[in-house]
Amino acid sequence: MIYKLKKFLEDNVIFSFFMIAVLIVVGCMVWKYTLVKAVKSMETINSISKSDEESKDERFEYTAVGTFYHSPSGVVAGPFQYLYTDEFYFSWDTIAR
Amino acid sequence: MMIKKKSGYAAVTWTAIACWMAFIWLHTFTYMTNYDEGTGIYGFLITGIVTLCLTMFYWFCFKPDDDSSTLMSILFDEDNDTEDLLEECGDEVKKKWSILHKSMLGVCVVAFLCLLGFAFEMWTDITVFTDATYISIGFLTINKKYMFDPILFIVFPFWAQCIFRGIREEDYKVKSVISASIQLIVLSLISFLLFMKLPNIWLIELAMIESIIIISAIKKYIWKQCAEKKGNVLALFCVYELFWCSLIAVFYKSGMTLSQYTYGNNWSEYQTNIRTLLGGAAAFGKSELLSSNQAVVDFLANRNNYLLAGVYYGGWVATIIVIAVQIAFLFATRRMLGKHAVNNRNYLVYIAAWWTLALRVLLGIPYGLGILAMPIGLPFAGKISIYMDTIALGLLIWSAYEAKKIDNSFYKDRMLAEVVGDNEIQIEREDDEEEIVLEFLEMVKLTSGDYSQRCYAEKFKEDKILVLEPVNNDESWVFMVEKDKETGKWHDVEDTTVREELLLTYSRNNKPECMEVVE
Repeated sequence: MIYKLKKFLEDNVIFSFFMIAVLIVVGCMVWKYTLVKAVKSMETINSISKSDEESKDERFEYTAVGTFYHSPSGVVAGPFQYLYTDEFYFSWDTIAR
Repeated sequence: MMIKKKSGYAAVTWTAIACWMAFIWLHTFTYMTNYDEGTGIYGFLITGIVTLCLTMFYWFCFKPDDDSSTLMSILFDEDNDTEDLLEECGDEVKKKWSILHKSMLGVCVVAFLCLLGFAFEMWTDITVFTDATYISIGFLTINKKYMFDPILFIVFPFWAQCIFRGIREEDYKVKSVISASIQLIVLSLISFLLFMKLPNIWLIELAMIESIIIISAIKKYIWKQCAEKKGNVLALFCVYELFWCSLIAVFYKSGMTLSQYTYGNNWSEYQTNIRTLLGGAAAFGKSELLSSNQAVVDFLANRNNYLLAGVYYGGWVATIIVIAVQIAFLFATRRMLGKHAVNNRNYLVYIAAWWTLALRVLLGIPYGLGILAMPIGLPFAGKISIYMDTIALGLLIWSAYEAKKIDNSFYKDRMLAEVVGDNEIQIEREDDEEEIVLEFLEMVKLTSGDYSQRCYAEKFKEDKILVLEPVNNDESWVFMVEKDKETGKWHDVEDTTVREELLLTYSRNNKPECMEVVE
């Protein structure tokens, strides 16, 4: 069956290109539909959480000895004392590999 | 009747691509739900597809192989025009440079540039090693994180395989082993210096992958060839590992715990948040308990971990599905390396690419669940990672394509009498000008009774023996026939030793360019 289909597509090149174009369009529509549906079906974190500027003001305290992070759970974390990276006080994007 | 046995590379490749698309979907979903910045619905998908296509194109153009016309071969292959530049000119005799000599020259040049980099950093605004994120040379600014993966799974393994080929070329002499060891240590040191300002987890991964590359190289080029000197090989490898341990220990201070070293001071806080998240998750769908917990919401905001997003939005079932897809991706990509992966010319590059992805799965899942303080992100779950992991996947797709060719070149011996019985065998040369005739081969038509088959034929022993490989031969078997001196009729070669020799010679002559057999 697969070989027959392959042979048919090889013999009908224009049809093959047309099918590829259709599949790309359908794929894009499925991609968009599933994402939009999934995002709209629930209340998202970025709609609940405070604005970036507000949270920055509250969570980061800039001092002369470094930047301190006040976490929502109440634990105060200072800059990495041991790592050779003073500028990486608390940022997911910079810690993680 | 022969049953066709599929190699299965197409299936695993499509599985890996499907998993890759699922990860990009999850990453896009995480960005759309957890991040404040907008990325668009197709942003990561287009990025991924373009990166994959460009990786395939560039690897096709520049991958190192037997063809001396490629750019990579200018540095390391033997027969090319640049050889003249590197020849030592004596009075009359010219001595060719070996691969190890050329590699040593390359290492010296890079080391010299690094020294210049250090010197200029002291006196000018140029930064190469001392900035955590960027290399700045005048108007040129390069993010080190974009360099990390290409160095990790393309440059280092490629250079390492040249060095190990050099040892083999010089027949494992002590002098060549010492030269190679020095070169590998200098290359590792340079990579360490380049990325030493990045957080420690990057250095740990660098050490792990480079050690795996060296182990794979030893397995391929050294282990069987130096059966009596395995102790020396192990000792040298231990020296290499001690070297890496000493480099990593530079950033260790007394009293520091492992989690402080790898993650930082707030690992317990991370674990607390993860416990709250996992404890409050529903079996299926979003939990009201979690969405009303501001600490959990703040913890997940702007965090690019789709496993945790899965726990929050989809519950335990979604989490298990995501883990299952990760494991399927891991197995599929491992299979893409091929059954005879070690015989690939660029085995070290492909194995390094696979291990880079594998570490993301093997360490990323325990880290995501708060079990292991190794902050390695999941595959395709970061702005930079989506490029770099896609490059690794592109290399593995290429590996699967080459693996099929390599598998087909493992020919199996088959008696023609098993196929045609006692019927008389006739072999006619085809004079089709359109047919591509290879260097050693010509096209013939084999007929015997009702059986008819076009075959590639290679002649041996003054055309008295032919090795015939059927066209469209999925099973990779070959026939070996010889002409009877008296009757002039073709029949199977009877002598087993001759058959073995012929099979070996035929395999050698017809191996694909991407294949390298270490004997």
